[in-house]
Amino acid sequence: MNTSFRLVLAALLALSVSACATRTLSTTDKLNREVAEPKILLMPADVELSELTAGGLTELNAEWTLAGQHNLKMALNDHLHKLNARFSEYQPLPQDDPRYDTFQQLQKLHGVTGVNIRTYAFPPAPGLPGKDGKFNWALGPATSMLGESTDAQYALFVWLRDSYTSSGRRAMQIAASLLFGIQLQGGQQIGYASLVDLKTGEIVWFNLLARESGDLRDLASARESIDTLLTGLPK
Amino acid sequence: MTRRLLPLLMLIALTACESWQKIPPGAVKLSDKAEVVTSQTWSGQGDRDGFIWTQDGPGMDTLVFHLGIKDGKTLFESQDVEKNHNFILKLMNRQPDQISFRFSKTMTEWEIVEFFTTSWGKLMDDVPVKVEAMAPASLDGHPGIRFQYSYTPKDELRRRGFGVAAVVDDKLYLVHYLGSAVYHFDKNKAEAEQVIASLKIKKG
Repeated sequence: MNTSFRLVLAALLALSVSACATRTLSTTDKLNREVAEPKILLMPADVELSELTAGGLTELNAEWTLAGQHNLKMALNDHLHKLNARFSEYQPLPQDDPRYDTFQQLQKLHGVTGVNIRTYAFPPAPGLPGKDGKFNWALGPATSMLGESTDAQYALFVWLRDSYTSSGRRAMQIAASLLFGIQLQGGQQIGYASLVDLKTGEIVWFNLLARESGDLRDLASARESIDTLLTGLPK
Repeated sequence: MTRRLLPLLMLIALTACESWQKIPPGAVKLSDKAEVVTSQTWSGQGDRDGFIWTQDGPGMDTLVFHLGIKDGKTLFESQDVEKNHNFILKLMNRQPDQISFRFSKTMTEWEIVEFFTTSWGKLMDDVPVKVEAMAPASLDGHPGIRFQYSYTPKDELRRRGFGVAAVVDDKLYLVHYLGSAVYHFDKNKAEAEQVIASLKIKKG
């Protein structure tokens, strides 16, 4: 069963990779100015780096992931500074804090919500007809707790998965190309960023990045990925 | 990534072969023998295993109708390991390495809940589904059981759910709703309760 669902995953990821590097869905193109200078809470990026094996499966690489997390943190900070955005970084809570579990679950919910938006909201994927074509996904009222504890009006969530072609996979690619004339899938960079209104919990801006280039292990390349992923972030 | 996303992708894959239909508010005929009323708009689809409705996506909120599981059948046909056993292995007289958990018309209410939690946990890539509460209930007037459950699949997003089950004409009718514990469960729970309460089952 697992193998078949890995194939489903591969198919979904392949579906996500389009000619365009990014695609955006939003309900607004500017921040709500109820306060003069809205503050964005930068959530820790959910990032995993892995190697694409000869058989086409991804194997998580802890060392690369740590490097990617470090590079993304720097790149996100730099990008928001460049935008002159008022922002603060999320400060992790101690595990015995009553809000700890809720905040952890909001991060996980963002990851799952992104998969559903990716699967159902971007044409040509068959959407959810009950939504009547509207972009109306949310993380719910628990997000207000994030705003209360940080004085922020919005939160920026980032989810990224980067995979790199192993030497075995590269050999398979060459062999498949020479023997059968087919192109086997290589490493991919898939990610999304969501700007969430902390008062309503609604995702007001969502950007999807899907391409076969990029390398989060490298700081310069990570900066380029974040610049691309955050293109069009409401100001 | 692959491992952690599997349960979510299983829910998506479960629904991948059929196209979604809009379920507008009003009476909805699910089959010749079952209909419900909804006050909200859903996206839904159905096949031989039953019907799935969602508002934000099957990974986030899901209302599932199992309508008339016969004696000796599994919750989902894909879970019938004996029937789906590779035919070459069958020819070689090789048995599958596991056995299916099947509904029996003689099951007690507790056993029905266990049948559900075991089958659903297996579908979610072998995660334990914890029963949090059980109480006598009825489904369209037929005596049955109501249960609440929770589980955390490998995507690490905790899900909560509840369901109502009853045996009618020796067949199992089980409707359950689940959603992310941090948001979706509470968001649509009241509506799910109303839909389940509105279920009408035609006997015979």
